[in-house]
Amino acid sequence: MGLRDSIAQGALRRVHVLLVETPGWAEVRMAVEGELRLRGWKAATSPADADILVVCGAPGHELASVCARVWSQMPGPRSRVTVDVTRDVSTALDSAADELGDDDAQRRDARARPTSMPQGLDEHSSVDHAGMDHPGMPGMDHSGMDHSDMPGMDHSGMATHDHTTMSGPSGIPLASGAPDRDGLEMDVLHVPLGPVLPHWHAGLVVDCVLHGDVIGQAEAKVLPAAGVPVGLPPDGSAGGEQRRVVVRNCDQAARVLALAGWPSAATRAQRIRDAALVGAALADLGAQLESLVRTVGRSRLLRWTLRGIPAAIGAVGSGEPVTVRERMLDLLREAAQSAGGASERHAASDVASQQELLRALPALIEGTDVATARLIIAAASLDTASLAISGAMRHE
Amino acid sequence: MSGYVSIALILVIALLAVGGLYLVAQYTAVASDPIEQLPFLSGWEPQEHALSRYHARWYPLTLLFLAFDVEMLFMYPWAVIVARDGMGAVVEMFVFLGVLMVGVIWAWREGALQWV
Amino acid sequence: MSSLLNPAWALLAAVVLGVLALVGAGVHGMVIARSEGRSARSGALSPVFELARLLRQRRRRTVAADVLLWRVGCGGLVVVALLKTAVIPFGSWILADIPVGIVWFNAMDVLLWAVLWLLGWGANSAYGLIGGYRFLSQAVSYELPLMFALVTPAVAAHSLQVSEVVAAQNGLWFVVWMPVAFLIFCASVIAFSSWSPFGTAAGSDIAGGILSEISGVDRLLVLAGRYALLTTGAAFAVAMFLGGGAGPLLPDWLWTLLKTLLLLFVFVALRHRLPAIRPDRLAEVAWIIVLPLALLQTLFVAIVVVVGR
Repeated sequence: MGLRDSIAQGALRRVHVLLVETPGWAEVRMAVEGELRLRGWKAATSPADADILVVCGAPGHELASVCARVWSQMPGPRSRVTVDVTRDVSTALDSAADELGDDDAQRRDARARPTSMPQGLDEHSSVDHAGMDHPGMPGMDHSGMDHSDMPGMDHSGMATHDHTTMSGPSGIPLASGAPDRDGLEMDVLHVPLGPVLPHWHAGLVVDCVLHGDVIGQAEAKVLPAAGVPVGLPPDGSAGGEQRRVVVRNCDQAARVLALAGWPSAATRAQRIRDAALVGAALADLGAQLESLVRTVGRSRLLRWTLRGIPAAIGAVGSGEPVTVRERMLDLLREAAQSAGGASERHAASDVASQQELLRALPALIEGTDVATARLIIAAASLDTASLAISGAMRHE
Repeated sequence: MSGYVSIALILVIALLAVGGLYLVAQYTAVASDPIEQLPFLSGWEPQEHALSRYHARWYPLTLLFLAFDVEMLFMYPWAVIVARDGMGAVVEMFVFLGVLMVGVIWAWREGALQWV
Repeated sequence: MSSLLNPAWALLAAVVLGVLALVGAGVHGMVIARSEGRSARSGALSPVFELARLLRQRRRRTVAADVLLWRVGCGGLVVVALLKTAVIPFGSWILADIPVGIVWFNAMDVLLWAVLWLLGWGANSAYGLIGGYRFLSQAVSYELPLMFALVTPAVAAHSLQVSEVVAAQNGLWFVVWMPVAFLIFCASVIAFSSWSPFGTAAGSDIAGGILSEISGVDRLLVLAGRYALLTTGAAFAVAMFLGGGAGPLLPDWLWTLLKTLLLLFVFVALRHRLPAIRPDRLAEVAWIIVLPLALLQTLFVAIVVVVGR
């Protein structure tokens, strides 16, 4: 077993982590991202790429079922962990890594899972995405996540659905055609973007009808959390408000830069963000931000690849239409000013304006391709936390 | 001829290397058989199979490409004999390429190079 | 230049390619570690850890996937890269000094169209599908400039045989008087390896695209194949434009190695430093600016060759 052990040891030096952020737990997600960087681990882009599933915060009903599905899509070895507060991040990752390194347990888990989908898509949950199928999420053990292990889920007994009349192979229907924006008929795919996607707003779901990679129609919603997060600590440190602006803006700009495919710039923005989170001197951060603004602003390649992509802010009625690139630079400049001591009180983003932005989002991305849509969505200052909380309150 | 035997050799080595790696992984992976799962869709289940008539909007560009690509068939032999045949061969080839380039510019003006 | 017909040499070529690709991946790991605030040294071994991780990970299959074609896509990158090494001179040795070596290299990188598209198509996944088609739309833009960049050295050498192209650079490397062809070739190598800034087919905006559904050894083969393709691309650029093994003092095989590594490091480092170029942005520039430039480069070389006869 020497080879297997040393392989397991090596694998633990480069763990890939799939992050799911519940709206409101941004701070925990950032802490995890910072910890990954420190350890030389990597954020996973999809379940197939992931070893550990980290759920930040307390997901609501739907988001929990999404987490369960994503968990069942991880190939293994795998482990999962829920992190509620920032100070638990490091120990949570440690324990998840321990679990990951336990070769015997991982092999048991692998054997316990069914190697083929019972009937492809299980019809029970395809009818209702609301995730009635995993009520007992938090306390579940690993093997219990897979559908076929669920007690009382008799697939054969459900074959009478009208759904089956249009079924294709494995119980999944084939794509059917619809005219595109030029009136040409081609197959369309229904592809939801979010909530589990790299560089994505927490809890946001944009259901898209895709013609090729172009979005025909879109609908946006936010999945609520199961509770209200503790949130950022109220002004304990000096310059709390400025610090918050630095953190928020850098996080958002990093997202846009990552989606623009510029990893070094995105990492720089993230590192400034994380330094601000742990209380680094704002003046230093200001200088770093100025330098980042210069680097990003100077890039002609970026100017060219982002040319003409409108930012969502213009659509919601506040002044001139700006591009995603200008918006991202503005975010960084604003952060630099805040770090430099400018403390203009920001109009707290009220729920009504956030809802308006969410409603305006589909119109902005319809007719664009997925890559462009991702940039537009990332540059929109959507505060999904406030939307999710208001949504959760409505549900109660 | 020996060159092509070498290529066959390296093909065999490549296939052996890939096959060997799969064998090694059979032993080292936590389970030797692949697990069947639903394709990743941001955490949702697919409403239909992704394999479909994909709408490639850059379709006109592929036609343009095809026209130019067939021309490359002439370009390779031309490259070998151009030094021997002299200026005549240069002029003939580049007049031909020039005509093709006019076609490209026309297609560009028609918007074939923009599809989003 | 001596052709080598011996299984041992072919095996050695495969091993050298593997080692160079690993070194390239190590350098990439160092670049990332540096930018993330860790010591460069700590990142150097990350490809080894990644190798262990992927060997340990279970393989994955998606529902109703086109399994055969998908696996062809997974293994194809490494096979294509190895087939390319057959025509790449290593110092004064070459495995297969066939008279159409350049065409062979070109044929192999056209195979990548199929391989990378199958990778996206086979998984029966929407994100994979988008990734696969992104690669194709990028390929129709880079392929023609690449072909002209490859033809240009052949025109100057009066031959499609790689050893003759190297010999023709005796005294003056082709990069000096065909810099445009050299740059286009390098950009194309990055593009057909689906490497950033031309790596949108595997972009994180579509959850990894062509990579989104593969795990375990399948993923390992694809990731290793990309590094191998970058390496063979760099090595071929050395033969085509940088005088092959020519250089003072050191033996020619060492010069080949050094030049190849240098070029490989540049390719790897670029990934981190440049924003991605989306295929839809690339098309116009590739066809309206780069293609005519490539044609002018070929014309210039052809005229020089004819006049200097």
